[in-house]
Amino acid sequence: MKFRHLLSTMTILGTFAASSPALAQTVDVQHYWTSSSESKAMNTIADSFKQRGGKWIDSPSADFDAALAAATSRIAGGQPPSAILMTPSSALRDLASSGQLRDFDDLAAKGGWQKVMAPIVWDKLNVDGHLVALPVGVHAQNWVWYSKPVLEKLKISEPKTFDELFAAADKIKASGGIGIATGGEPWQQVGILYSAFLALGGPEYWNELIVKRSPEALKSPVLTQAFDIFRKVSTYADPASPGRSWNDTTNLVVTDKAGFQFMGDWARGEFLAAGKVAGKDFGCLLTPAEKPGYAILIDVFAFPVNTDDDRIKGQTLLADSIMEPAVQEKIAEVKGSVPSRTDVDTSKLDTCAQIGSKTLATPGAAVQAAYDALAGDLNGQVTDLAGQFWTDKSMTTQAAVESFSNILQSE
Amino acid sequence: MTQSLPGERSVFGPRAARLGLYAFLFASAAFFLLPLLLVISNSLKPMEEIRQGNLLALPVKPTFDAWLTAWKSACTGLECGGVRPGLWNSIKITVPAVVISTLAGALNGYALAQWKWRHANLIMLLVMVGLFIPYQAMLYPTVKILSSLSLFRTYGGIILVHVVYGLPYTTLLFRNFYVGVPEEISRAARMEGASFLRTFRSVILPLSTNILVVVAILQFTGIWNDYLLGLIFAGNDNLPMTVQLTNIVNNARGSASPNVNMAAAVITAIPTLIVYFLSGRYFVRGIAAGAVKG
Amino acid sequence: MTVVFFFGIVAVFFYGSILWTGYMSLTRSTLMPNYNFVGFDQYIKLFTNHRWLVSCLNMVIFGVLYIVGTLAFGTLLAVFADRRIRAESLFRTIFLYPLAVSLIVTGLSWRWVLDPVNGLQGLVRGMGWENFTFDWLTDPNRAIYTLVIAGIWHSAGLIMVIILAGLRGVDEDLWKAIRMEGIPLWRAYLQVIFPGMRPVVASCVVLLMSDVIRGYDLVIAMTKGGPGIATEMPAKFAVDYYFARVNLGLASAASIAMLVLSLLLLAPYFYSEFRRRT
Repeated sequence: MKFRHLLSTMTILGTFAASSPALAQTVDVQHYWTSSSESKAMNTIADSFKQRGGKWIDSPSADFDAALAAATSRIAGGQPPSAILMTPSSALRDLASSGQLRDFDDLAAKGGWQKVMAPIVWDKLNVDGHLVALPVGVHAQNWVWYSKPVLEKLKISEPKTFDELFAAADKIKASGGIGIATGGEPWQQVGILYSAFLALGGPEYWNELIVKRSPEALKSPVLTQAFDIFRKVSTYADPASPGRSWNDTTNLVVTDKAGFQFMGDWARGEFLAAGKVAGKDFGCLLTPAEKPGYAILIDVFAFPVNTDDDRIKGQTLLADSIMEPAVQEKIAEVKGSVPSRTDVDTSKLDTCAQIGSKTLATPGAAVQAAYDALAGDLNGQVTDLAGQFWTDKSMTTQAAVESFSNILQSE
Repeated sequence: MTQSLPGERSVFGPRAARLGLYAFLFASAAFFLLPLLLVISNSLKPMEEIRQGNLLALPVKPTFDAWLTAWKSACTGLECGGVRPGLWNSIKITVPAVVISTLAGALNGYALAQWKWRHANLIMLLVMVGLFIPYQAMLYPTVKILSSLSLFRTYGGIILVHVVYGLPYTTLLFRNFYVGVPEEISRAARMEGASFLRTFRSVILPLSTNILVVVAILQFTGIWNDYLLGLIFAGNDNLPMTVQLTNIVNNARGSASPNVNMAAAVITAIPTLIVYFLSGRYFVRGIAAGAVKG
Repeated sequence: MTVVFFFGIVAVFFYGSILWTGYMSLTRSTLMPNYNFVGFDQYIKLFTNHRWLVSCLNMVIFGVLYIVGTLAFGTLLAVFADRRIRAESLFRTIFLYPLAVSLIVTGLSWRWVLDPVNGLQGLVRGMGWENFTFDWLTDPNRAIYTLVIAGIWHSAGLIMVIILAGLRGVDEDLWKAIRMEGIPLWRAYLQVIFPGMRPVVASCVVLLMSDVIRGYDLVIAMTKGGPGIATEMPAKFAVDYYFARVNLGLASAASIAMLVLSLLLLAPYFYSEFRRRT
């Protein structure tokens, strides 16, 4: 009997907590930006939002899996957050096509947003013809970072091809340093493999292979070449490489212990945080290619359908804050990304960001990164394969290519 | 606790055996203490020393800076307030959840062990199955059940979740304890006309101090260290300390400061460590009274 | 009444979840549930998935070593602590405290200790033994043993106190008889004392087995399943597919498979429980 009592007490407590007074224009933002540079970027949005009179409820969780679990649980439990930070992956398409997301078609038409975004970005944000997510910044995967002092000391100039890059790395290795710094997590490794596909095959081939998954593309010799390059990079791994996080790996380049690192441009944030200057202390290039592609990863906000009036108004207000050019510029500055609006003043951004902006604006250069283009499941299997190939030296390139083809054709 | 040393005289000479025994105990103690010492020593290093590399080196210039950062200024989202904001939430979730799940487990265990139900064993086995469901598989159904009770993301809700998820564990431990308690004790009380609950409260509970402490401690560690359930079911106003800990330690795309991470880990573990050191004595006695005698 | 209420709650939450998960495993749900029935497709996919098979094998290797290792080490500690030692309570506290540390922190600290460059290996090399090698954490063939070490570290104390309790419950007359017969100590333990404690050991095995099946935190904190997929576990497989890989159907199939697997492994225990007590 007592326990029934208890349950009813809990229910009363529950309803009490749920019925806190409504405030005008509130957003409850579920996100995973918790490091210091990410926190700065999120604060840029929050400040702009608060200045417009909104009230921000912060729901952070650094663990991406947990953030997604929390967001979907909240939608299922009837208490959706106002906005979810995510990437335009299959999770976004799932949410949108099951009718869980608010669209911003009207605001987009009013603000002329389509005209100020690169077409590929715009496409990624639309599901079934509706704009269901707003971009906060564009990252790209296929970058190579290097330490200027290390290269200068050995009189190496910026490599233009993979051969030059490997020759430079050998030189650094011979001088006692780490030629190419590599980390130990499978997602870092698969990034190198994807960059090799894009560099060797070019953007059109990439679209055939990763986006359309056409059987023709799987017959190309590019696959074998890319796996060979991937294997070659793995031979530069130092003893501490397995299990090392990407930022500890970047730190090796920052501190001039290593020459190069293959990593997306979030690495730039690490250089900047250490007080380094692009073009002076460190350099950057897109993975060497005849026709450079730009494999983009977009940070976006999706807005689950809310019914509360002040929540809906809050979402609208937040949308305006996110799309504000000044906000976009500031985020790119602190986080290492490139603004998702093409009409933002990029003159203040550093040389690496400018290379990024320019490539993003080049017609046909930008492609979807595999993480967004492949269903989570497929990308996961390729990641497993890459991790396995990286560590298991007895696995042949041929076997790897075969498994890779099987994975891409499995759905 | 032991009055006489059973089975005296080993195959070795007594002194050599004694020496070997202590050598083993000290080696084991070193094995157990190593990670704790490592974490504490690194939490006392400034960042420059951390960058030097060797994690097993002792701090040259010990400082509490990392502890202060972890406690009140490390970034955990929009706010940079360290783990401090979650401390009170952790306490107010853990204490009632431990008390309720422990008492409920005692009641269930007693009912299964001492009242001759027809299928008491079968029920116990069915409850035990709960120990083998990965609890990520239970998230969605739990969300649905709680929201239909309007308890989703409320203080009452998170407590209910911890109680329910803990029940298979506590029920098993108590049931196995009460199986060993002679039935005559409770039968005598029932003969005098005492009700089930009354017998439980006045006869059984006083017998169970030790096992109560054992289960309560185990539950305390489990619930205190939980992260995912707190994040999903507690609601923004009740987020436990582990959520901030994870946000500090786990940010994959930010600059790493291991000293702050380690300090944050130690700070969040302090309450459980205190509970262990204070009640370790009861813990062993409780088990000795037969807590987990299958 | 109250008891029925609690069992009702357990039934609703746990068996509700099992039923729902079972149903989901027969659908092609991705992020959110979707109730289109597709038969056993997900199970076929599951058991042709290389990573899943590796995970299952890893779980068996880890499980056997972890359970046997923890039992053996915990028992040894208990036997020794029972030899009327000095500072017993101090040793006991030291052996027991890891249980208070969450598995996440356990995994992180062991990763730091075993780091080949900055941890133990680096330290010993720095002291002059240049050829000392202890790089299990980064060796795909040995990484799983580091998980075993950390797991044993975490749980040996619990087993110690449970066994210690059992030892102290042994009848004094039995010891007297052993002494009279002049049986060597090690044989006394192996042939007389331990066989009498079978139920205690069985409980330990059930608790440890639950750790093995649901083991997720330790792997995440220590190896993240790597190097490569060398230390992947079924629970991590399920969690990855629930969330990051947005495949609710496959994750549910994995959960059900894990449940069935653990029930099969526990069948002997269930059987002996029934026989003894009904």
